[in-house]
Amino acid sequence: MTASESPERNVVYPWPAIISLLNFMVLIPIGTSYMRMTADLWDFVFVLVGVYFAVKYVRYLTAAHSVEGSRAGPYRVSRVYREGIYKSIRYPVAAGTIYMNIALACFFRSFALVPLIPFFVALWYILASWEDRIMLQRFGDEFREYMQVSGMFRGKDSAQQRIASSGYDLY
Amino acid sequence: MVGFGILQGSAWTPQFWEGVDEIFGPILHPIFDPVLTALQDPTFRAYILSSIIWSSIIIATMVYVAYEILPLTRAREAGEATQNLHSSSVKRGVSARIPRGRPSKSGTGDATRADVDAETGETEVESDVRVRCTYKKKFEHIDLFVDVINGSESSIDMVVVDLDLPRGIDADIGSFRMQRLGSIPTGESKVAAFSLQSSGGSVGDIGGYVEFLSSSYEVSKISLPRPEVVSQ
Repeated sequence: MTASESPERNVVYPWPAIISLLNFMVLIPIGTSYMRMTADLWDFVFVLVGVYFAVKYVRYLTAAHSVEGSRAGPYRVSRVYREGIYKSIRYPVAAGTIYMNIALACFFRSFALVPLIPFFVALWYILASWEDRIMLQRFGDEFREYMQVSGMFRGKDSAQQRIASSGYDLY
Repeated sequence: MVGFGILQGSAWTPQFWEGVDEIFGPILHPIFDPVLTALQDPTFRAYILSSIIWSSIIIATMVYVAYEILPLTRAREAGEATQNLHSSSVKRGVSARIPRGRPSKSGTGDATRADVDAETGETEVESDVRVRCTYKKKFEHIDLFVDVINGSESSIDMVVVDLDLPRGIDADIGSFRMQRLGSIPTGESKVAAFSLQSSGGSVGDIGGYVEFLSSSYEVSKISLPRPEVVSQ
């Protein structure tokens, strides 16, 4: 443990990595087997949309892990993180992986992925809700206030953040 | 007005496009014609599409492995390393915050703080914040120096050195067992000098800890290593 490496930074919360692994290990092989092999205009459009979401995934993951202590789970974290991407999104890793699922759907352009993607989105939502509940138990009003100004997977707009931080919507 | 109306009416006629082609054609045709000709080939299109898809997936996978899997394996390795040093003062996580007692003597069956640190006289926690303990002894008088070296990426604050003196060693008149060093910026070190008086106690039994506030506002404690003699 060091000054910069607090205990929470040393402990890695495994669930996001495990669910991501499961997510990709299911989607990529199935997507590859049922991949659409045409290369028309709409295929190019879909693939470019997929690239956009893949870039979003990379950006979210990079931003999430550039915040110190982001790997600590809800039981280990010593405070509510509001820096960087966590300012507006509570679960950027989950959000990024959901975007990557959309990217994979666009890349493979297969209907076989249609029922699978909502399943994994639901899985991420369950994990995020569970973490929210634990954080609420641990940090109470501080986390409740943070929930007001941030979104679970998508950032709230600045107007909502301003209203929430003013405290008006708490009453 | 009439002229404008005529121009508007004829804006998108084939003649208009021919005019555009006459003006820009000599510049644009050599650039775009080979591209358009190449894109006529469905195999080539499929090849481009496949390259874009797989390069994106590979990059995303590499990012995933770098940010999610590698830290997990590294943490597991670090956890195993910590288990090997289970009884030493170098512990991770919450356990590192628990102040250690005085080192027990060797031969009790357990590895002790003294066993781990006896050779170097230095405690290092995750190789960033290091503590070094040295002393000079002149008859009954002992000058003990505790160096706190901040090798971490951020400054540490509220650094306190607290000694745990054994029987037979006391703080000298005008000296205290605890000293505050304040903040230590990145890459710098500070020394806490203690003036002690020996009345038969062993300097090797001097214990204690360095406590500081890390950048994440986490209070951390590092046990003092076994003091090393500098000069008698």
